Amino acid sequence: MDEHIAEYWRKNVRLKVILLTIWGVVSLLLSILLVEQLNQVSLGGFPLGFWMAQQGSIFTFVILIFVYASTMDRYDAELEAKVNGDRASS
Amino acid sequence: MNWTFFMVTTVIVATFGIGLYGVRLARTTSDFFVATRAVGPMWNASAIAGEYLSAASFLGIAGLVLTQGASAMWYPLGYAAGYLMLLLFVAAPLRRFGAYTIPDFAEGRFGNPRMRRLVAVGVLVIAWFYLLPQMKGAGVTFAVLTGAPYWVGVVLVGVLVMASVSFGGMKGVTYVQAFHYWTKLVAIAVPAVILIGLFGLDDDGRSVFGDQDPRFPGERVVEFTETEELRVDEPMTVVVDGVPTLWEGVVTVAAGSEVVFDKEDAVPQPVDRPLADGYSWALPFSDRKPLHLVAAISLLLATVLGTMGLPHILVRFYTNRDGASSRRTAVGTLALVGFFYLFPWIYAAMGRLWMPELYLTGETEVVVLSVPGLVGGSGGSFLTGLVAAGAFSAFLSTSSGLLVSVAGALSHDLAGTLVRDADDRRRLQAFRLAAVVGGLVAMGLGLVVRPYEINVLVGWAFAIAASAFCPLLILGIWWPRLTMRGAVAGVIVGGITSTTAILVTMIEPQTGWIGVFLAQPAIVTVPLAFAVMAALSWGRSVSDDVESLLLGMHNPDRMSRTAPLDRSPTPNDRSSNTAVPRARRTIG
Repeated sequence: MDEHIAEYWRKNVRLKVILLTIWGVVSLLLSILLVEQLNQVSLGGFPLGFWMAQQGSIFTFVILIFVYASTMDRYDAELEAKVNGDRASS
Repeated sequence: MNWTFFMVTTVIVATFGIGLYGVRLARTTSDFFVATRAVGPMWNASAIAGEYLSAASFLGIAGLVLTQGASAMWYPLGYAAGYLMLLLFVAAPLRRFGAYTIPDFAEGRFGNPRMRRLVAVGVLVIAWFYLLPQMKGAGVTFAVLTGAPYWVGVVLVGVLVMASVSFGGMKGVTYVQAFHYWTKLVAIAVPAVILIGLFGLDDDGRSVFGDQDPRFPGERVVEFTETEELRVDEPMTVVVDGVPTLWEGVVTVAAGSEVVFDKEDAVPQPVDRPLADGYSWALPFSDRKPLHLVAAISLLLATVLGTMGLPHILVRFYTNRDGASSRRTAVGTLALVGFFYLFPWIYAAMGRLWMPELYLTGETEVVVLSVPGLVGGSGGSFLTGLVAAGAFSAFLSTSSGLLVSVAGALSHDLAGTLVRDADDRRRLQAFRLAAVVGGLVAMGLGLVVRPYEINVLVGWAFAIAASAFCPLLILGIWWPRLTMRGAVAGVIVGGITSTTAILVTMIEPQTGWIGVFLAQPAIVTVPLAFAVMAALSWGRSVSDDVESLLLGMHNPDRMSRTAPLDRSPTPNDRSSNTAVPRARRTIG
């Protein structure tokens, strides 16, 4: 049971690190540091830097948060199945 | 005006109607305080979004974009990004821990009731700070719509909120706030779409995203209510009180003058609040000043890390059934909040292009209320009524959520020893009394904050929350070695340095680098609070109790031997450090 929990934790932390990296790139790098370069590109009349700050990053956050919630649900179910399997076999 | 009156009244009546319905459902004391956690994720997400979208989101963002340009977009970005931090690091563990306010968590984590009182003081500071912009928004909105003095709106909203919180409690508030979210969304989205459809985003090739300075789109009559000094860069002839006058250089307009500007006249610059020029309005940081970059990053840090420390937001996650539904609630909330943020900038862009006279009258903060009037006729007054109703929803929902937190901190956390052994009826009385006291304080402070921008006030509340509570929550949940000594010192250092910096800025704004750090202190005070907590906790041994306490927070729900904790979390559990035994039970 302990090694299942340890594995659950490794996966949880890995997921957090991946999502936070994307989050940091989008919110800090694209929306603040590179905003001037992005503004040179236009997206249907909207400067891309403006769009990144206003909408793009918020939509990215919604996707990240959705990925986190659904992946954690799956990890929870996997862990439960493994632990129940152990209990049944012991 | 008639539409405005009708719609605002409808919102107020509906608020109380739904609140009363909620009260009928709230049969037990636990219902009253945390809605017995029987609220489904979609309802809860609407309620959280309704509570989160305050005067700052509804009025403030558009007003700030109108004056400062695209750089004000960092406010909504930070508000949204903060939710992600809350979800990843705080929401589910706190739900499993069984703590439903930050004071609950602080006492449970360290097993010491003094911790609860210290943190409750922080809750009061943050909640009151966050109430100020709501009160200000109410005062300004009411003044613009009816011509009444500023204080009338402050008192009106203050009284309504005190009444609804005293009678409705948490369950009433949940449904009311869900209703408020949808009101706000309709109120901001419908006029925005109609305005874009009717007027478009450019005028003779001048796009809202372009870098031109603002010009009048047609003949405009501006009434100056106060004496104003204006800088006129291009000499032009205007009609002042019926007399054609040549304006150049710096001109003084007397109070009560009526000035007619012609189409294509450049908008003069008020000397005491200069406009952002077109280029820096449309393209932030084009001036390449590191000062502005640091200010933006500090603001982003405050909003991103402050969300988790806002007392009225965290409480909501306790009304979820378990950790997994906390996560689902957060997904829904962010989607709803993000959808709302599609719209506010449209009002700013419309205002800059079609109503640049707002720059001269100084009513930039209420651009959301003014721009729908462009439509004209009864359609225009209908749309104005709609945004007014949305604005009142914003004041009412955020203020009532905050007041619940204030009343809880006062009646339960600070005066806890007085009412702890009382029966349910006495505790409700204490809560209601605290709601009235808390509301009166907020109204009093609200009357004096008129000079400050709504969003700036909100940004400060976030900065204090980030400095005082973010380190406590993150380290308290994720680092078993955090000691009470470290936690106390960190909360005090973070809270006092950030609050002092902001008070200095409010009383006597500073310039240069010092000014940036005092006005946006988060970039200094948040790392400082983390460092103090870590330094004072370093090398101390940690008891097994704390280890198992933290394990209990992080195990998935169904791993806990006990079913989802189904104990009344009323703010009066006898031992008051109830979170400890409860969390231990879940280790399995």
